[in-house]
Amino acid sequence: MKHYIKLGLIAFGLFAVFAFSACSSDEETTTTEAPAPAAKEAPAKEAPKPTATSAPKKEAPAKEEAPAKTVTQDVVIGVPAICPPIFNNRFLTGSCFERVQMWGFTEGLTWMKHAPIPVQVDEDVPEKSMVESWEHDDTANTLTWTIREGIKFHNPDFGTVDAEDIAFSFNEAMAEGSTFNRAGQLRAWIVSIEAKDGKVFIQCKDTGCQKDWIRQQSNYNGQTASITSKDAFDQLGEEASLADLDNMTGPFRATKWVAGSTIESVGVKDHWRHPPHLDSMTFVEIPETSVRTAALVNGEIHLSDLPPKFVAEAVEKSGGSAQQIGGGKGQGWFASGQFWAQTDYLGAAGEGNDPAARPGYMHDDDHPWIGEWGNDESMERAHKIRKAMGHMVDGEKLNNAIFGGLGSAAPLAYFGWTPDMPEWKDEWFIDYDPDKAQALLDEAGYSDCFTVPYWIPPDVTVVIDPEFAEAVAQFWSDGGCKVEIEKTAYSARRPTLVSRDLNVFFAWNTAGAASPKDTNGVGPWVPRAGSWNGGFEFPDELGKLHPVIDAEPDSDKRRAYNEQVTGFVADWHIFISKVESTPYWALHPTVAEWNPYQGNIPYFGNPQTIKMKE
Amino acid sequence: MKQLQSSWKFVRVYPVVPLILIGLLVFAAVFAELITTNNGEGGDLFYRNFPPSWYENGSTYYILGADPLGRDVFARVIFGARISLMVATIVLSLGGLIGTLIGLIAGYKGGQIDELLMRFVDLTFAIPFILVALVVVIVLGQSMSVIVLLLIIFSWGAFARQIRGESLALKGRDYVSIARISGASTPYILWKHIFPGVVNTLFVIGSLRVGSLILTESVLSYLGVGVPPPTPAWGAMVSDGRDYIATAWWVTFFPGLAIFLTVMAFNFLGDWLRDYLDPRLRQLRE
Amino acid sequence: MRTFIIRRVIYGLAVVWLVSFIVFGLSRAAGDPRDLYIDEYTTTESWEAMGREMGLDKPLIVQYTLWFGNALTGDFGRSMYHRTSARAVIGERIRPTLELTLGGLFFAVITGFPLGVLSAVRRGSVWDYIGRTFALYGQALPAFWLGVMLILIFSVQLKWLPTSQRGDWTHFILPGITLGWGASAAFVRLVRSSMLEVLDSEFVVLARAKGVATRWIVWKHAFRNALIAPMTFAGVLLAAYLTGTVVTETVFAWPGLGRLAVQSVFNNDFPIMTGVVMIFAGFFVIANFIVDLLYSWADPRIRLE
Repeated sequence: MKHYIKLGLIAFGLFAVFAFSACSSDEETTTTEAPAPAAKEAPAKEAPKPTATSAPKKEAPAKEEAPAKTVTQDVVIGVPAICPPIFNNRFLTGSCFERVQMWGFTEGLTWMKHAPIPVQVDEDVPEKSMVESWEHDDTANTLTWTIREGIKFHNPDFGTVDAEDIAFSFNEAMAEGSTFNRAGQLRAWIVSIEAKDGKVFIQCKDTGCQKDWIRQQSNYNGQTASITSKDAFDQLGEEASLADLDNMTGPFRATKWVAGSTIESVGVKDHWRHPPHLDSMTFVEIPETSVRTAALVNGEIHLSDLPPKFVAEAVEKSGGSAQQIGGGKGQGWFASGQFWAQTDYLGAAGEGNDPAARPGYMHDDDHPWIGEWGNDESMERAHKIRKAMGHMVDGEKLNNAIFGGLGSAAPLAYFGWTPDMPEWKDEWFIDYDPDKAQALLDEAGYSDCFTVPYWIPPDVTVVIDPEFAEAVAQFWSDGGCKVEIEKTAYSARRPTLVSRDLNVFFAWNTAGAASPKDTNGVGPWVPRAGSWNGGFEFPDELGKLHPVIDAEPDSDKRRAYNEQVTGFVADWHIFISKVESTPYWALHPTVAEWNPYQGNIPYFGNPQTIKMKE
Repeated sequence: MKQLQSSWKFVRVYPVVPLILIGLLVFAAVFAELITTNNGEGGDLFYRNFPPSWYENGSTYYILGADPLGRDVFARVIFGARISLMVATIVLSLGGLIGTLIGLIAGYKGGQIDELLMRFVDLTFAIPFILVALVVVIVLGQSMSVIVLLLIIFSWGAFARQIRGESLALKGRDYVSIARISGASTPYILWKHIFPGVVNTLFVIGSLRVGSLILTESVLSYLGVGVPPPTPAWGAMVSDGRDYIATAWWVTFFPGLAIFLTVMAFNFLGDWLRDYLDPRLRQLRE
Repeated sequence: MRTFIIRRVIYGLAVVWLVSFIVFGLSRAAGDPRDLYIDEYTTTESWEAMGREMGLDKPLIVQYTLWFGNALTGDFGRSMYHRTSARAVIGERIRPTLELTLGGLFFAVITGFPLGVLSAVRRGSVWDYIGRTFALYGQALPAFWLGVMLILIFSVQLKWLPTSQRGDWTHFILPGITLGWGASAAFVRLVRSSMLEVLDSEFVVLARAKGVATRWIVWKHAFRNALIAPMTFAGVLLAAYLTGTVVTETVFAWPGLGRLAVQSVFNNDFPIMTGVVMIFAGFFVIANFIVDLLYSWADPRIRLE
């Protein structure tokens, strides 16, 4: 008898689990069942689409917005990660620096106007900036900034922003041992920067002052030096001032900042540049995508950073809308190991800079995608292999399935070159053509393909969707290749990139700007020795261009250099992009308005423009 | 009627249900290729999150639906049995061997050796396993063998602790003392007299640890250092599908169910073994 | 007894010392921490400056000695990622983790013990099977799946509880269940089996024969004796808890130690990583020591020689 009771109970238990799952899914089955790829769960590409039908049915906006609160405007923003409070440029680290500034706490020297999509910033037309006027002396090679008066630090003890503060902030950013991302870029043109007679005086290098400094020092890249107080540094010392929450000038004043957890802030109503609508703004870190979605649906958070494929679900269930941020990024992969530098052209940090002995530079039969620079046969064979790998993958299908049709499988080359640009070359685009792939493999002598080591970083979803990357591997398997996937965290693998050990295929995006159109004067991202790279190094003649591009004043010339350098990557198909995916944020219906800054990095920005429904 | 009654009795006394489940598991693991033609590693994106066959628009080809990459969930669950069973067998036999050896020696020798070995066991408990696993995978790279190795390191301590207790108790038995006095060597006594006394415990712990092994594997996948894709491991399937719990429940449910049934079967078997092998309880039962 | 305590203290310190050795080795095996902070503009000078700041310019044995000496005073160094002392960062996270742990333990105790007792006392009844099925779920459900499931049911569908974050008592329920269910399952099993053993033992049979009321037997004799096994299990439970908190804290966006530790490994932030491991090891050793003392106190048959 016993065991029958037992069985019954187990059955009941299983049923309970089943019911759990079923009850949480029954509402959505309509969207998920449809296998037709394109039509499924697709809010149109102009995504802001408040679904009128579901809005009243589910959400009682009064629930989280107590009636008495109509006078205050409060917002909670859910993000995957909150960085530590570091407000000294010298100590900012790569993945964190943009948040402090873009999120409305600190400010850079200049501020570009909000631009709608497509991203197109009018050059040299900044919004009201800290720099009120400037003088450029071409003969003496100097630049002088006059600073706007009356910009208050959050703590009145630190006074207002003056020339001393600006010079201090830039000098900290360029200091020896600085981890500031743009330290080298500043050092490339600045000899010295100091406060003189209430103005900031810059001595530029012989190559000239940075021509487009107004854009470069703005929020455009979200990567510029934040202006912090020298008084705070003097009064509190390095340790205390770098984490001092009032050591800033932004439209929001942080009151509590716990890395990995929350940031609480209040709006600065008399802000000099752009007073916020909000009374308070809170960031909360919620790492799990599904939990962020749940919190948004419940109204616990009002804005959230979600992968495109989940935005539709969140919008539908919450009755809210979606907001695009920034342009699309090409999702694809590097065929790494192409370390073609002949000399150690930049004098890099750390070990393993001997270009002749790059550990990953193995151009042997087990690594047929790596070409030996100078050996035409090897280069040609490797190129065929790389192209074959591209022809195996169906971008259209990837876009429809993984990105819910929200992206685009249109031609896109490394660094964002598109067919409408004069520089475009048709051979840059690798279409889906399995027959061509097989023919290329045959020609290269690898008819049965080969063992493809493939690294998928699962944790940097802003950069690369791991599901997309795994689907690419599936196409390669279908093409007859044996794919060996390694799915380890990006940061865990990053050191092997730095040390030039990496010689695998690895999933990444087009790196950097949305498109060269918008980065007209911006130097391209060129991998250097001793640094992060896409698993390749340029041969000398191109590698040596880097400092030249950094200092080139003429934007047409810069663009030509860009074409030369990044076009090289596209020519050789070291990077192949398959889908251009567009970043979205999901908005709760209580959010009335938000005009995010459409910079080239899809991060949250312009919180002062957020308005809540009353 | 009488026949029915006797079969009831049979089912009541012997662990029929768990054994059937384990039998199915072993069958699935060994003959996976015969059960399904699809090996679960390849998929077609067109069938992304395709619903199970009983849904209106389901298909009999994907009996239990398809996952986000269009891979057959059924095939993955079946082939996952092979992975899980293989991992469990290797880890438990090697972990059990090491743990038993150390437990036997510690319990039998006693004194300083015992203390030393047990503190060594403490050491393995005192270092958070998950952090060690992260570092090791980062350094050595992600592979099945690294994960198996880590799980062995993680599992021997529990065996050592239990076996030590048992062997401590057995040591005091008359027949062991007699053997010792008559000049038998330590390895001989351990092998002939002590080891047979702890075999039961060994089996019981082994059967009870299957579940925690599979769950640990799933946590490793969750943290991004688990069994590398596209290998169908149950834990990795549940972990990778967790974003779709609300929209495509079948992606995580069926591997979860497989874990559940396996853990249940081994637990019941372990319980039964414990009852059965403990003479005192057996007496009570009859 | 005294020699026992002294010996255990010495051995405990030895364990902590060994842990320090292993964790230091791990932190160095994980690669040069500077690799994470350099970019295309890093110069050799700043590389070396970073090395000096992190103390990487000295020989390993010197590095270890310095680090261990500081660690003994609670100073684990300065976190490169957080730009502040590792102690401050860790200190901030201890409380949330302790709260969560207590929440989980509370759930485990209030469900595990009654169900364990019930299923032992009413062996073979519906209660027995409810208890055992409940335990099975705890042992067989991956915590991240359970957590998301609970959120979908109780927060999204029913709107009873908040989805995530730390806050008032309602924020403790779902993470507590997620973290505690596994431990609860262990309690059910342990309490049940040791209760059964005690209930079948001679003195209980004797008491029954003497006509002592069953309820009295259960509470007075059996339950108290049955507590011993779960108590010894506490040590193992603690070891498993950090793993559990990593997952639970990630799912419920709980700012605790477990997630901090995992992130520190990915960030190659070894002051934090080593700090968390050392604290955990110390905690484990002390807890085990207390458990051993309690054990000998609860069960006088066990001699501590």
